[in-house]
Amino acid sequence: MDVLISNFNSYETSKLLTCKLFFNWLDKITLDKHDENKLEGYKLGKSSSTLYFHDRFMQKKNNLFSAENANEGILHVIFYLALFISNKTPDFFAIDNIETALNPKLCRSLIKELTKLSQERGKQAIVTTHNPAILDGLNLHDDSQRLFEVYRTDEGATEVRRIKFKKGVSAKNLKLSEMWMEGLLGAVPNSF
Amino acid sequence: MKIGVICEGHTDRAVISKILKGLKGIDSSQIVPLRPDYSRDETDLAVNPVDSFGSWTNVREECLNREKISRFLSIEDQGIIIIQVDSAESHEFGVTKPEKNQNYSSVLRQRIIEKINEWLDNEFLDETIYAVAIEETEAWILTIYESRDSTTSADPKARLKRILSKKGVKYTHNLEGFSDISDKFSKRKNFAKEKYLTFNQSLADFCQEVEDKL
Repeated sequence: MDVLISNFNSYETSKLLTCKLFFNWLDKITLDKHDENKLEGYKLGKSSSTLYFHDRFMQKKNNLFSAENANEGILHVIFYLALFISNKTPDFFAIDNIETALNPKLCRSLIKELTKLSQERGKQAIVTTHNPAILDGLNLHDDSQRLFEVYRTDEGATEVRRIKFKKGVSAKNLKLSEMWMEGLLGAVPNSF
Repeated sequence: MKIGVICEGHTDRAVISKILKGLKGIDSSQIVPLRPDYSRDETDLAVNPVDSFGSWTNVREECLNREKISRFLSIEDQGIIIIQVDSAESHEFGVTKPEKNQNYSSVLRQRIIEKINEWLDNEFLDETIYAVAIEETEAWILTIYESRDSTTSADPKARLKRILSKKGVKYTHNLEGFSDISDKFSKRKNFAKEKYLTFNQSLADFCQEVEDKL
C-alpha cells in the first residue's frame, strides 16, 4: 500500500485525503521514503511500512506515529480508498468483509464515498459484508449499486438473489440496515 | 418467491415450512419470519422480561401496524404473507366460537379470518394466506401420527405429547423439534398416501388456500 500511495499523483493524493473526514484526530499523512523515522525510534517492530500519521490532538513535538502503531480502521480505509483511486489497481476486484474494524457510522459514509469513486475512476467491485451499517451507504435506486443476498438452500446449494424494490416504491421509511436486522432482506439465519 | 410468515411461535413456522415444502416444493430459505422476532434487545428484556414471542397479541399488533408487512411486500419477489393463529385463544379477541357441529372448524376459521382482515383494515387480502389451526397447530401434526379426525381433539397439545411418547418419538418444543416431528409434511406423496387432509378440516382449508394462491 505504501508503494502505491507514494506513487500517487497530486490528484490521487488529494482524493486520498478525503479520509481525513472520517478520522477527526488525523492531522496529516506522511510517507517517510528513506525510513529516517525508524532510526529515531518511531518504528519498533519489523514493519517495512513507511506510512506515518500525525495526530491532531497530541503535542506537536510528539504526535507522529507509524502505521504499525495506528488503529486497523484507518489502515483499512486508506487501503480501500487507494484501491478505488489508483490508476494502477485493477478495474475489477473484490473486498471481503469491508466493515472490519470500522465504526458503524463510518461504514455508511465510506460506502457512499467508494461508490462515488468507483464511478469517477471506472472501477467495479464486489464487496461482502456482515454488517448492516454498510447497506445504509447504498442507493438502490441507482442501478449501478446492487445488493445481493447469498444463502444456502435445504440441499446445501449456495444461491444469490438480488434485493430490489418493486417499481413505484419510493420512501420505505426504514433504513436498509434496519430492514436487514428485521429479516426483511433475507441473509439472516432462521434457526435461532 | 419469498414468503413472509407472521405466526404465534417458531414451532408454528416450522410446521408451515414443511407443508409448503411438501405441497409446493418451497425451500425453507424462502420462508421469512416476520413474527415472532427479536424486536426487543436483551437489555430491555432484562428489566422488563415480557415474553415478546408468540400469542395472538403479537399477531394482532403486526396486523394493526402493517408497516413490516408493507416493507416486506415492497421488495421484488416477495409477494405473499402467511398469517397463522391457533383458534384456542380466539374468544379472548372477540371471536365467538360456533356450535360444535360438523361445520365447527370451517365456521370458526372463517370468523377468525374476518377478525384478521378487520385488523388488516382489509388491506393485503390478495397477498395473504391464512393458516388458522383449530384448535392448535399440534392438531395438524396429529394427522401424521394417528388416522383419526384431530379437529375434535379437546387438547391436541397433550394428545400429541402422549401419542409421540407412546411411539417413542422424542422431541423438543422448539423450531428444530417441530421441524422433525412434522417432516412427513415435506413430501407431497405423503399427503396422498396418508390422507392427512381428511383428518383435519383446518389443515385441509389451509392447504387448499396454499394450492390456490401459490
